[in-house]
Amino acid sequence: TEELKEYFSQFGSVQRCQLPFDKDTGFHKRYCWIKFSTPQDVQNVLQKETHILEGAKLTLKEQPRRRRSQRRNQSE
Amino acid sequence: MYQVRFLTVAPQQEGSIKEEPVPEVQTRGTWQFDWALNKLDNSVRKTGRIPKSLLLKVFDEISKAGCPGSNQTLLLLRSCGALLPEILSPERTELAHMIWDKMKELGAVYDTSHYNALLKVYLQNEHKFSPTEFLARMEEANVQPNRVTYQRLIAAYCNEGDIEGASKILGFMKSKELPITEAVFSSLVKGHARSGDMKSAENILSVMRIAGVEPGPETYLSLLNAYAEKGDADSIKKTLEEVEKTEGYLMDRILMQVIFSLAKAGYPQYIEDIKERIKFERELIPDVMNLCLTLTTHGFEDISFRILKSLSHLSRDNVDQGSFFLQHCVNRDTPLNKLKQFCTELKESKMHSAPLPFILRCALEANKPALAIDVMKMMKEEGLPIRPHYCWPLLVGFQKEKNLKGVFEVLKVMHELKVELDAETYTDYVFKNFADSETAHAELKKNDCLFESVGLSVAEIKYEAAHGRLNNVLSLLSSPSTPPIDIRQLRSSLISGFKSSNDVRLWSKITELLYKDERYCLTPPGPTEAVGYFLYHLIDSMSDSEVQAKEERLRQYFHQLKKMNIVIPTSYYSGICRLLDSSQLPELMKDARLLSHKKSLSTDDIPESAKSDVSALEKKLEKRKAENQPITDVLKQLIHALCEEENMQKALEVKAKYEPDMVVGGYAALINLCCRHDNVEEAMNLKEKVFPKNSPVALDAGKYIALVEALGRHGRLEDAINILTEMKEKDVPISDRTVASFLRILNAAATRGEVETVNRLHETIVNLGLAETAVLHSPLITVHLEKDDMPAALEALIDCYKKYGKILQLHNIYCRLIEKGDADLLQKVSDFISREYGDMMALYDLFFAFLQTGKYKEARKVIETPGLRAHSGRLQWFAKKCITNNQMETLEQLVELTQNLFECDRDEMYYYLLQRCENNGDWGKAEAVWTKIQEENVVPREKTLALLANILEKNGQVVPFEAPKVRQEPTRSLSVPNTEERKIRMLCKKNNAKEAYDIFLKTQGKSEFQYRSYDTLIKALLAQSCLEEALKVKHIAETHIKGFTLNSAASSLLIISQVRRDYLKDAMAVLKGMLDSGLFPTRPAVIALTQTLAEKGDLKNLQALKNMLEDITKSVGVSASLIANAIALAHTKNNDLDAAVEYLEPLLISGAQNPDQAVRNISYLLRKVSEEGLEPALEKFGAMAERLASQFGIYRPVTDLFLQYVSAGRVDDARSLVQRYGALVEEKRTLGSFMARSAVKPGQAKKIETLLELIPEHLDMETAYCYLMRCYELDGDVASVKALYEKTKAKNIQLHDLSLKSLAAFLKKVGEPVPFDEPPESFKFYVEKWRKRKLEAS
Repeated sequence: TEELKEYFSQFGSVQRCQLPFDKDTGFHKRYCWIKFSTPQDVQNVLQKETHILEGAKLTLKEQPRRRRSQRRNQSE
Repeated sequence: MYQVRFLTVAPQQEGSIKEEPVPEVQTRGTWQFDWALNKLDNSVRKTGRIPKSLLLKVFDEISKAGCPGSNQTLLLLRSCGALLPEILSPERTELAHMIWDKMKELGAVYDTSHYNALLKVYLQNEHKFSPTEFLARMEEANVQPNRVTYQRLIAAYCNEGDIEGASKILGFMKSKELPITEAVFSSLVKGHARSGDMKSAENILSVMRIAGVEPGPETYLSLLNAYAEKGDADSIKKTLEEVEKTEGYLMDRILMQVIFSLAKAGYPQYIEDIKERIKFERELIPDVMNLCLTLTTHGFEDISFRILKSLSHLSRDNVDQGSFFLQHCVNRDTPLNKLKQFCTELKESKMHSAPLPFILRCALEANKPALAIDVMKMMKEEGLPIRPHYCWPLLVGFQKEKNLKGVFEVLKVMHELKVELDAETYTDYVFKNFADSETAHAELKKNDCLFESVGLSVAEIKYEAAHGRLNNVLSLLSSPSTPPIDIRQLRSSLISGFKSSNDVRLWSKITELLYKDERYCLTPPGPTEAVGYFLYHLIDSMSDSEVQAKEERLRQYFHQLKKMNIVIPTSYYSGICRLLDSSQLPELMKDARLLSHKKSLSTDDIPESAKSDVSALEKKLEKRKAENQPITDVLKQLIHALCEEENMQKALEVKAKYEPDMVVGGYAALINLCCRHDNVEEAMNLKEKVFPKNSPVALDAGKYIALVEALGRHGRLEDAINILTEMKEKDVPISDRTVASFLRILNAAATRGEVETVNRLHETIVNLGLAETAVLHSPLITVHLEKDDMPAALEALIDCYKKYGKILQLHNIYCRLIEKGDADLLQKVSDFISREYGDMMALYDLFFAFLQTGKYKEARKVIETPGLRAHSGRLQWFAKKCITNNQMETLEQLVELTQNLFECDRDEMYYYLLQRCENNGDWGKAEAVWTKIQEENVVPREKTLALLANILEKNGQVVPFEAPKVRQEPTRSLSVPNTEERKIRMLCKKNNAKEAYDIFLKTQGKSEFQYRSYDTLIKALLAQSCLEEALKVKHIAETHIKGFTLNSAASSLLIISQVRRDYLKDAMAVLKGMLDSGLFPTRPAVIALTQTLAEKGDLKNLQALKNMLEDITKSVGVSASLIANAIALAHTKNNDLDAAVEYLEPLLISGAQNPDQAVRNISYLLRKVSEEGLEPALEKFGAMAERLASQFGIYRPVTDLFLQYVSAGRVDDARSLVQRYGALVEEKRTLGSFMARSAVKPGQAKKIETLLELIPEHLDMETAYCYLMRCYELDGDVASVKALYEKTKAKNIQLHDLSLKSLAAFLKKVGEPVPFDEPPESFKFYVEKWRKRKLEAS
């Protein structure tokens, strides 16, 4: 979680970062939520084409319902 | 499927597995085949392989559903060969056998295609078996072998080097005159080679040529493999050079197979040489991946890794390469040191950014704890961070196995590797193994893995809190050994602990500790802030009922906190107050001041101007003017009314006359009216005057658009641009409709070929940011296409792209250029697209354009460009275009030419073709498609089979397979599926509902119909009052189609039928259902229901009805008066006249003041009571009407009364009424429509006569005489007609042409001479004229 937060902080101030885990398997659920302070931060993130964090390619999706928050999927 | 090309050990001629028609499918479950097919097919098309897990999953699903279909089984069997590169061959064959047996058990029936598929799997897996036994098994099962069977059996013999066996079958094929294809020859090459006779093997090539079969890639591959197996590098080299000279293409995939053969045969030293010949391009990646996987599966991971590294130059920015390889290595238990070496090299060559974390994940996923721990140790050595959560899957694994030792080991490793043992690790993955945290603590200690840390303490507290053991929480918190903890870490667990406990003492004690113990308020804001935050969240997390249930405890809690001198910041305090207030417990916070703002919204809804009565308004206007009252409102209404009647002339006159009193709204309507009538001059004048550019007042978007449009038509470009600029300046809201209008305007100009207009308008629209859709740019190009100016069109296209990043009209430009043969421009546009979108897009565009223009040879060249892949979106676009435009030939060519296109979904392509066939009803072509599908070895989806079956069936053809049942698809609903259904619809159309119903009953249970058919039938039945039958059909429909509802018309008919039968409750229910699902009832239905309810005096339902219809009376077209009259009538029927008057009178008074939704007339009520002889009621309502007239100046009711007297022939009553209330004659329109109504039915001349007698001076004589004349005509009263005509002549009343025309017709009919010149035009002409005149007069 901290690493995700750190990584995304380069694009803007991260308010909240959640990486849910499946307690039945011990693996994370391959997605996490990052909440940014401003929409501009979100745009900064989206501008970069590929995000790779520790060997995992991240796919980004802006979450429209809650403003300024966005979701990303983690996948290889 | 190129995979077949890749790993085919015994090359076959593909495409002939199912040459015979597929035998009928015996059984079929409900399970959807499409799903499985999609999964497997996608996997094959994207990656050239199927993961074992996916195959097993699909197999599982099919087994669970039972009764597998023929194509499902085929699909599974075909997947058990080379498509599983991650599994060794024997295991694959085993899988195939398992599937074969299981499916058979489930009732699958095998035909030739299945046996052939099994053979293929054997060959691909190099499975040893006896061909004769195989044949015997087929025979036993009574399945006929075919050419494909024999070919594959030959290949089987050849695999074993058994030329004799192969020859036997070959001889048999020859005797049956079956063609000997390249597949057979390439098998023989292998056969000879494996029997050790290379000479004969090489010789096969010349034999082939003699037999007229050119050796192709398959044959060469056979030969190359043969050399590889012998380790004959020289011959390989020689052959390759030879082939390269003659063929020169498509060798890469073959080379990769040779590499595999060399590896297997134990000649890795020659591989490098072959590898160097391969051009490792992006297109080759899936094949290379599969080669790597296969090599690894067979234990050649080093070779595999070398091959993998050949891809390094293809790395795209930051995308990791080789993950698949690492994962497979982990799965195949590659030794750790090798894994480490691979990881290091991948990292060094920058192919993979984090190989070690990746293989750690793979190890965890594959549940290899030992490996995972080793990898973590390796990571530690490398200085990579190791996170606690890496160990969680391990802990979960051991927990599931109830392996406590494993858990302890992991903890020790974590400690050893200095991984932070955080709270989550303990709460979620360690403590669960024990009864409670205390036991856990003890056990950990006993096993030497108690590592004191903040994490452990936090975990213990959280764990105990979450389980509601607050006493333990308290003791933990107060224990001196507990380290400092951030309260935020505990918050949520504490809250849930508090909530599940009722011990206020513990609540308070814990809170006090948090507040006072320095260990728990580390954060700068201090304890006040932290505890306030905690309390707020505690209350916030409780539901209203929880708060209410705990009211007393909370009170005590607060009380005790106060005693403990705990203070919280005001902001949290008032937050808590708000929460308590919303939980309806304000008394809990006595001294809290609740500040609640209630915003009062000013509802500034300006009611839409009601459709108004022009003449009445005029009169009113004059009257007001005369009385010196304000007239603006009335004037506005009048202008709107005139606009509605499209009477521009009059509207402008009125405007001129009352100019000073005109308001903005009136002008706006006028401007729009002028635009509609193409009177730009006047429109602009008005606009400039009232809405000048610099004034803040703006028109709405629609009116601006109308102006722009009219100006554009008149070539006043500058003005149009000014208007657009003004729209922007005044911030006029732009809707989708406005944008559509922009496009319409631009397109209109483009069609006129006005380049300047299009460009300038477009520029303005875009520059001003009025609209941003791509399609808006399209006219920029269209205008040049219209003028056939290709260079300009192309320039516009490029310009458009540069400015807006959009490519538009490309296909049209391409086609036009090809038609014109303009190679230069074609090259130019192709280059441009290639540059901007890549070669692939350019090639597709070119391909489609060649297809479109019928240049198929060129199209073929384009689509066969090496490396081109299927782009389903683009193919679909073009296919759909062909389907819509009825371009069968083009579509056929598309399907044919894409046959070898990489990744092309063939089933989908054939489905397009069938869709076209369906639209044409071309069953012959559909049948040809069926054969093609078999020839190409495509496993069709159920959807495709169903469509095919449907086409054949509809055209009276036999379906050669069991058609799958497909659920109702919306796309299909346009076509009528079966003959009965069509018959029913036909009969309904002919109003023969009864017969249709009979057919319907007969087909019941046999087939289900489409939505529309049910609807049609029900409507037809209702139209003939067959209510029961209709209801029965409706019921059946509802059971067949989920959510079946009748459409508006049918529902309305149903209501009418129900009303007729007095099923009022049912009718109400139907109406309610309609409104609930957003349907509007028809006017007659509402009227019928309302009136009948009134007759029954059913006030309750009337009231309900009124509420239901409240907002939609206008849409339905019933007046507000109707319901009001009905309710009054109902009261009357209930003998409660006072209630009726009490109800009605206020409505009439307010109605006169509020023109919207007004209740004005009472004619229906009066007519009803009068007709039914309810004299007291009539008197009562009469008195009311008179009161309204004398006290409130509301004349409409008394007019209604007067006319009712006239209708009922009570001339004296009428006369006395008009004497008392002379003003009632001012209701001219009411009088007019009364006369008009009288003149539609015979026997009502008396009414008009009475009127003429009573109020001659207030009637428009011309009109009155016309109507009266019509009455006489209807009555066939020749004498009166003639007398009246004379009278008009005497009184010098000019009858209207329509009247004369009608009169002439009448006279001629009865054989009387026509004493005047008959008007020359048609009836219709005069009806139109009459209507216009009436409009103008009123």
